[in-house]
Amino acid sequence: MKNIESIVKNNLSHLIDIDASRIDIDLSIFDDYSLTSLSIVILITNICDETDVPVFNFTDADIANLRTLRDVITMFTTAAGQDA
Amino acid sequence: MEQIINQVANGRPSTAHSITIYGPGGRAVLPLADLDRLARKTAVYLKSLGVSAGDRIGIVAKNRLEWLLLDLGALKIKAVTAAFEAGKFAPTATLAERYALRIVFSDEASDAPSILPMDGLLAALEALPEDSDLSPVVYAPDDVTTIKFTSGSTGEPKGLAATVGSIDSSISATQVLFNHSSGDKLFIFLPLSLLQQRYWVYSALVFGHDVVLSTYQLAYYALPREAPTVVMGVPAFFETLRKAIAARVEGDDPAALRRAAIEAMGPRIRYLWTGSAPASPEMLRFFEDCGMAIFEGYGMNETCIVTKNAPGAHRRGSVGRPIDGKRLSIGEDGVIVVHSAFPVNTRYLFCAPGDSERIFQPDGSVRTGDLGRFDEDGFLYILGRADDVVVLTNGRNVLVRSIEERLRTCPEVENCIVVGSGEDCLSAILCAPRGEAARDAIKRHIADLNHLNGPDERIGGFLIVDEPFSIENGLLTSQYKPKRREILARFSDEMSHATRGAP
Repeated sequence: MKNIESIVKNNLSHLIDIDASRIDIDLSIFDDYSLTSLSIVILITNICDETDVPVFNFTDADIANLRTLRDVITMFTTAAGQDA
Repeated sequence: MEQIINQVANGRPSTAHSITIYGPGGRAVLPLADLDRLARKTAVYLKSLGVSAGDRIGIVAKNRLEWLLLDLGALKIKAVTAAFEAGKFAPTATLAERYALRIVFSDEASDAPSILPMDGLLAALEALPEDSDLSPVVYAPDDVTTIKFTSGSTGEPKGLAATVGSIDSSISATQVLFNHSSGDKLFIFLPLSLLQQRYWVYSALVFGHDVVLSTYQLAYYALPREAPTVVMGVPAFFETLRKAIAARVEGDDPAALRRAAIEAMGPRIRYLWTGSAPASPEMLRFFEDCGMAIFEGYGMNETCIVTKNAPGAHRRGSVGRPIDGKRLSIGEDGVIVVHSAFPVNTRYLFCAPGDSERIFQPDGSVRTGDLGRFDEDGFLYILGRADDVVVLTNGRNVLVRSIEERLRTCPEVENCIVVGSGEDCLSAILCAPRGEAARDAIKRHIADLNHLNGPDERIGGFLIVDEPFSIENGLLTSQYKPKRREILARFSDEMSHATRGAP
């Protein structure tokens, strides 16, 4: 599997048209990257497709609790580890 | 007009079609006949809890099978559902008391004895006999099946009891336009607390087609896997999808965009339905360029569906022609008034004195507060809200919605409002993800617009904010419309220091 951090960064960079090298994974996905609840859903869906992590692994609360890209990376890393 | 509710309550749907449900537990497929069978058991279960005709049951939950079973089960015994949007209402004893609810079902835990967990419903149904004997029920047009709640920006939400006649009339009229039938699979993901979303389940039961119910969290995942023929959405959903599709394609090759759109939604799309908020012309054009018809419509809680573009009667930029059972007039002040053969209701419930009279007219019509005009072929164009009108100090009334739409065409601008009542010129509050880094580009965009706009439509000052307008921070309504008053209040201090002078 590709590196999850790079997959997450690449997907965000495509979604909001920002160079992946400029993405700081500790910034707020709401305040700093201006994602809406719908754009977070599509980000998670796209990362699921690319990582083969089933989207059903995540609860609504898991997604609601995401604040930074690091949270997203941790959520996928944990899920991928559980599935491995 | 079809007797939709009577058929849903008493009918026996065929086994040929199914409902597919996406929720936290995964994906489940249920023949519509089984859905009806479980709904009959739910009706018996509700009766065993002491619920009878006319009683209200509350539902506070996200989309799931049990939500539908309670709604359909209530229909079979003429109980009335009170549909609360999960996350906005908490399942408490206070809620039950305030809205006179006999029982509340919720997917959230609660200690109150009147709140029942939804998780136990399917197990409770299993314990009931298979062929429960229910007496047929008969609904008259004035009967009420459900109470919906308006998403007012201030104060307690108002209730609106929906009549059977209004439901039958709306579903019948849309069926005339779209002929949902055996080959169709309708995709719904907006909250079932919005009555219109349940229409498409009723439609499946009566007209015989498939339907997919998803939570919004799983909607983008489910779409390509289910390959629906129809997607029932709102502009923000399609706008987010548009950006994601465009991001998959290098450049703007139309064939590549079409392929990406099919990857995102499957190959069977017959049309996309959008409503509840204004759709941007760019978004509408994008999907049309992708070969997917997208039909904008108009309506509100108090009127249900009023106008709709449809195959053979579509004019982009308009919200379509009035559907059967609706007649529109436009007052001297430009405000649209809706006359319905079967009104949703003629008053609010749980409202402050005067609330009902402000919108429901003595003749049963609804004063919408929206400004509109018809073209020569009867297509309606929404010009903005009456409260979208900014009155400048020179006495000129300026409709700011079209100006806001033009501001949003700047790639740096995610959202905006234009204000200026009591001022000598308009100002804009613009949400830009890159914040001040986007200033030069935004300034150029405004300068270009000002060059094209009339004197009173020019933006004289602007404020760039990087805080997104969202439902979570209270700056968007649940239908993704900017809340002007709240946005202005949030940034009033900064507005006093905003860039002034024509850019």
